[in-house]
Amino acid sequence: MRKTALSDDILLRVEKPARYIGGEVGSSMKDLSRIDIRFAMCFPDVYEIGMSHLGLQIIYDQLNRRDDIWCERVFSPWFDLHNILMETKTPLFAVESQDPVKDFDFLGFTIQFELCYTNILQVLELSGIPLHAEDRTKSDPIVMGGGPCTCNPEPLADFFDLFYLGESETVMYTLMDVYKASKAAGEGRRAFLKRAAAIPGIYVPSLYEVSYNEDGTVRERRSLDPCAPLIIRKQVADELSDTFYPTHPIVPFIRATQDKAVLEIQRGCIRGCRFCQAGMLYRPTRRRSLSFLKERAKVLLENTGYEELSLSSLSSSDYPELGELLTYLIDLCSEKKVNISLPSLRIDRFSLDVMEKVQDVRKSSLTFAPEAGSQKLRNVINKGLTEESILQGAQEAFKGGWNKVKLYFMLGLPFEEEDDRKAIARLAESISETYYDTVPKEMRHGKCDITVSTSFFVAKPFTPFQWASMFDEEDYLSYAKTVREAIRAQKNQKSIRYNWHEADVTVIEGVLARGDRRLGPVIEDVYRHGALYEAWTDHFSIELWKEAMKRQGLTIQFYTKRVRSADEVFPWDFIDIGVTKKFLLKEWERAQRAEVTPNCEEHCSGCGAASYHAGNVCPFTGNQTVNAVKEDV
Amino acid sequence: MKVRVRFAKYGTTRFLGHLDVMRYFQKALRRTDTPCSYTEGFSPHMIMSFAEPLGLGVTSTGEYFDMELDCIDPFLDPAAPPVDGRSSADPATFSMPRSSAQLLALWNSVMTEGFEILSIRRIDPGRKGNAMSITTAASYEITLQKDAEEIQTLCRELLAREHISAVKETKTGTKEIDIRPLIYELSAEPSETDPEETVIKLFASGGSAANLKPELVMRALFDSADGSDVPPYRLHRTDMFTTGEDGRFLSLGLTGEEIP
Repeated sequence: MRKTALSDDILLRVEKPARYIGGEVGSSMKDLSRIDIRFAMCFPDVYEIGMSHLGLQIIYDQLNRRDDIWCERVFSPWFDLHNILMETKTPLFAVESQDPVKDFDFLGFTIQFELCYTNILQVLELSGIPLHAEDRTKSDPIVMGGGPCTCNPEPLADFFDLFYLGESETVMYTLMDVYKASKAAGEGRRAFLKRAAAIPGIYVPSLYEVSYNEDGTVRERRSLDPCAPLIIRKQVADELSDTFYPTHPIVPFIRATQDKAVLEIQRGCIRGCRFCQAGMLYRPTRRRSLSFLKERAKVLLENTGYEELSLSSLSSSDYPELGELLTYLIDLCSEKKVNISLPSLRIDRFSLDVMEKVQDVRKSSLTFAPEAGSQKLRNVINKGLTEESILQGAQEAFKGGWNKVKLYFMLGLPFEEEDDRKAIARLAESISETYYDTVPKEMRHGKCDITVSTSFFVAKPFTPFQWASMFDEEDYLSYAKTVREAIRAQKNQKSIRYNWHEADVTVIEGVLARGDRRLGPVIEDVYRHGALYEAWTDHFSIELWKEAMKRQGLTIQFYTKRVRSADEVFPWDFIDIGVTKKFLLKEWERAQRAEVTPNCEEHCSGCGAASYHAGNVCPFTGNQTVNAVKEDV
Repeated sequence: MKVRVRFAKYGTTRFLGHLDVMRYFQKALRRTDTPCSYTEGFSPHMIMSFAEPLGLGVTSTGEYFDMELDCIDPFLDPAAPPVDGRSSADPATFSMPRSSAQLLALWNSVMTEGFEILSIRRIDPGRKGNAMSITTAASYEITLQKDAEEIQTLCRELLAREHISAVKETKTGTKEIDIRPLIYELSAEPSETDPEETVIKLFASGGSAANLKPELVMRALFDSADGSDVPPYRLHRTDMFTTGEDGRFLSLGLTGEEIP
């Protein structure tokens, strides 16, 4: 009979007790007497958010395939349970065994977005683990972090024993084996961490020292130990069709934010949009084979019973055999009465045909992401979409019976001008006019419904825009106001809805994204003042951050607005992701001239990711050898 | 073929709400690949209706839902006129049914700990009503840390009263009702598993018409109008009943027929 760490009384007092009980279909229960390594995998947000994450399922499955490892899950307790755990001094536990996290060998965090950093501290504190890595002893778990934010892990350096830079399919087992041997030999924590540092892709922050110039920029990074290399290379899985992928993912009892079976079809992206970190970070682009995907889709549906299947990738339209894959999936899914969800598709004749087959009779909305209102600015950000293709796509959609369109844009992009913002309104207007021109009155199912949504651009490491300056909150809000007024001035403004994201969150995301080690005390300060679930609109307070920065003698503007020179050493320069700094700088310069860079299939621009392929040959351009020169940091 | 499914909910699944339970079974049935009937229209969902939602924190061995299996009903005359345009004997539109025993084994093979299918029986499609509308009573076991004799006395005293007034919460506010006529049986005995505990057995009116919540009986037993003086207890529903043609209570698990 399953046990619970929390009493009935507590479980019946908190919201959604099912978040904390485990026992779900697909979850793993093991016999502790056979286990050598206990691994607690944490998504530092509430259960329903964490359980929507595919990465968690992949790592969970990968680790649990080994008989000597038991991987369990832990999530951030919601506010109500957080308070109860603090009051009753009950230690935070993993949901499978209900055992305290501090009894585990590893506590791993998947770090997907900057605003979860205070939740990481929450999990550490509630688990009874010292927040600072230097204060931990042999009895504490090894605290490790992975995921996209680790491409600049420096703001979190104080809190982690090690960072895993790259894909879990690569050196995770190696790391576990090194730990197992070290533990069996009775070695201490520091000895193990030194061994870990020697594994490619593993970064042990305590083995380095960073010094700063007077102007606050990084002067030098020193390795404190011969086993700690000055450059850490991101680890990439060569072959995605012959590697770990769950066949029995965990199916939550309660509704997760993404309540569907997910099939990752490829990693990386050929487009090279200049604002996009993921597109660069996950290069080189690698695809899963058609046969693997077909087999796996079937197996996922059989083992989960999900009513919806979703394809996951950065740009699904670029998967070469998409047509064949979709034909197969449409047959499979209609037989099983399963819905198919296809995000990240370009809007064109092909995808509309597909969506026709896949969507219910009642058509939901179609999404375009032009990201910038004018062609000039779209060229700056290298998002190649032309107005003509957008309008053509819209026309096809309207002819096909759709009348709801969502448009995504960013404001605060580099080299953006007032007219670029107004162009957003003009584009929305053109689309609405296309509707009324295309669809005769008798055929219209109501008004054309356009929703324009803008977020504010955050400059991220490992993108050409890592040199870009961001803006103040007041600036962002005035940009949004410009768009709002421009929309109101349009003829069909009644057909156009506009919403925009918060500016204050943007600013702090900007600080953390390109932050350095000096932000560690700031994050801790903010947490100590009650910050939690900051990615949730209602729970973010920029005042806490402003005060904390002041107390630490730092400014927001240093991290966000400062103009960065081409030769500045960035806190993340010690990481090699394949794509070179030289390439990114070239792209930054091209952005300034609004020059478009073709996609990988059209022409190879030598981004550097080919260094992960044998012979440095980029597979997209056949045999063309690429002069991918690795950057000397 | 219309069927009535009886299932148990025990252990940590008591912390799942009714909607979660429903979604759980929908996914579980999809894992077994049992052909089920779906609604027509925009987003088809499985035709499944529960007898009564079970409250959070409550375990049960007597939960029911009705559903439609997409297969031949062996009890119907193949020569009979087709229902909804589909002939029940036409193998092209319906598949051959599995027996109750086979279905039970199949469905239990995909259950997680905390859920168990106890029976699957065929229901005559000609009969009016579903599990929810035909429920008239339910039986409960309420376990608490109290001396058995003390509780037995309280039960006897309660039953001896002609009227028991209780405050019922309605959508619009509160209402005072007499719950005595809704209590059919009430007794208590020492727990078989734990000598410190006593188990109260309650058989009461249930269903959509006049549902008696066990919490109201507990408040009346301990003379606590707002429930604050009621000691902590574990609630378990043992079964649900309908009123048979002979006027006697019949377990929902005995309605319909075993599928051969």
